[in-house]
Amino acid sequence: MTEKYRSKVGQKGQVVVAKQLRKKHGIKEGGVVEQISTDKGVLLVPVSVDDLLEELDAVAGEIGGAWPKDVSAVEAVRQDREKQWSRK
Amino acid sequence: MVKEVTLDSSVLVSAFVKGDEFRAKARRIIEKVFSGEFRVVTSAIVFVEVCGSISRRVGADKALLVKDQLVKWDNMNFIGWSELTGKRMGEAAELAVKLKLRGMNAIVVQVAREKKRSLITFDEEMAEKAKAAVEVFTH
Repeated sequence: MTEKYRSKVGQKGQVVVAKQLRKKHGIKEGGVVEQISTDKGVLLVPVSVDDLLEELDAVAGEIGGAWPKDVSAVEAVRQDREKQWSRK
Repeated sequence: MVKEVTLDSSVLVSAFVKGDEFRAKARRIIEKVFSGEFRVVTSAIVFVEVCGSISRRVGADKALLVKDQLVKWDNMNFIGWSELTGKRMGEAAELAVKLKLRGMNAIVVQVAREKKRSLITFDEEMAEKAKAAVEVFTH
């Protein structure tokens, strides 16, 4: 059965998700929810830390695959900072 | 309790490069950011530097993926960007003079020092000099 709750919209569109729904769907303070626009309204989907890490890993895989093997991240940043102050 | 930290570009670039020597450590740091253990405030110039550093090595298309991720993290309030004001510029210059730091290193250290945040960098040379001004963690 679909549970329905109503809440008033506050400043900058803030709404309070009903306590029962927060508990049921594991929505906690500091957590992240994805807002999905649907024909009927806005759907809130909780995003876990693992989901966020998975997204990071996907990007890191793309970058890592093309990254030059002889340069570490630390060296890359250091090289860029050295070049910043050197003249051609 | 949430710990406020300042991340150097070396940590963020490492987090985005699978296979990097410090990637596992960088991923653990980002995990703490996602879980709310760490709240990051770093220089807005770090944002630009990370995108540029990655673009120069893997190309613009892939670097845009990184930019999009950083914007998402900003929207989710995981990272706050400290802008370089005249006051901060003066403080960073003082740090650069006193600690003989490179310009960009001094700008990042200033952000950490401003609110007594811990600095996390993978650059040992930067860490060695910065520890006279702030608490520093490395790999």
